[in-house]
Amino acid sequence: MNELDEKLSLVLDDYTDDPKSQSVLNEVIGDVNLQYQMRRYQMIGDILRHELPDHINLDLSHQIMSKIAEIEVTANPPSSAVEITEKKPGFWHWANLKPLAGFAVAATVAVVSVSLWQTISVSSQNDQTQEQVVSIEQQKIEILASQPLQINALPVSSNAALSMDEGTRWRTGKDSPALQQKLNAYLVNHTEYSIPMQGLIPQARVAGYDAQP
Amino acid sequence: MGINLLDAELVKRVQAGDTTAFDILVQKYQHKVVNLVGRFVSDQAECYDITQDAFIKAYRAIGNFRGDSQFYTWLYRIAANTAKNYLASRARKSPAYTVDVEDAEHYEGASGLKEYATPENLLLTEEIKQTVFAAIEGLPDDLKSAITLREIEGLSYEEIAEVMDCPIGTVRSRIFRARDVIDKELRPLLE
Repeated sequence: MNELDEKLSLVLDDYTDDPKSQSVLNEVIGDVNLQYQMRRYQMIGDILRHELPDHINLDLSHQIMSKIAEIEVTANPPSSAVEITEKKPGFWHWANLKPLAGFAVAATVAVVSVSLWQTISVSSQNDQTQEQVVSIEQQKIEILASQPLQINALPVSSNAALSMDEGTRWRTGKDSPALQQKLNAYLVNHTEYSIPMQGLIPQARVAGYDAQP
Repeated sequence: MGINLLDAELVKRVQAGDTTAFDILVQKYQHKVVNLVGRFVSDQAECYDITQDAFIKAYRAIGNFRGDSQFYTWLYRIAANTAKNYLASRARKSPAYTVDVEDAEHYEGASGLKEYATPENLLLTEEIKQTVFAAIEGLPDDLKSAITLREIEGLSYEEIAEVMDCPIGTVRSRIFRARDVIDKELRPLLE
């Protein structure tokens, strides 16, 4: 006789909370043969009490536990099935990338805005510069137009009234050296950028810049 | 009583996720539940189907079982309600229950009938009962008295020791030896 079998018989009738009983129950749960033996012991009691049905189903407990196993699988799929059906969200999952995408869109909009603003600003500055140049040129022309003709172009009759030292050109050079410099620069520029024409001396040269002693 | 403590321990283990513990409870109470359901339904196949449903319902609800009552009274209540609900459901759709003879082979509800209520199954059940009773009759008187007082009268080991005027250890040994003798006769029929 096996000592464990006797303990099994005892546990079936008189289970207590002591460690010995729990140890026997643990062995039963872990051993299919002991489970069958416990089942036969219980069947003996059922037969003696006339509780055994007329048609016994030896697979009833197996069928019930199979159904329960199906329920368990449906309710709580094993971890491997979970891995197959539901991949664990990684770094590149949309949930993780969503905030980054928001930042990327915001940064792009910011860069485009700054670039456009700089472009508009630069173009407006260029417009202002061009306008300033035009106005300066206009001023130069007006100044030039307001100046009297140079001595070389004056009539001879007028030369008598005006000495060389008191000529307009010298007076201009003496009174306003800055204006003289602007005038000279204008003449140089005009000579450089004017379209040369054969047989025609540029006006600047006619307007002249006389040599001084 | 020790039986109740065993049930409580098994229920606790089931609630902790041990399905094998529930299997032991099923094996322990399956015949009692079948007999209870058999009082509501005469057909053996339906009886086993309802018993199966009752145990599955019990398993699903066992998380809510707090041990305020005995496990088997709780289980019996579930089984009785399952049988009553089945009868009410069958009454509502009784016309559909009629199956032509030609379709009976393919009728899903007849599977249990074919499986359980065969002459072979009836003979096996009778053979099991006769084997156990024959083994009991062949036991020595002290073993026969001990196992009878325990299984039929439901006495505790202390009460049996008092009736038989022997130590509890002797009662324990006699009950086990009686079971072991019967088990040796029963085992070949179930394997």
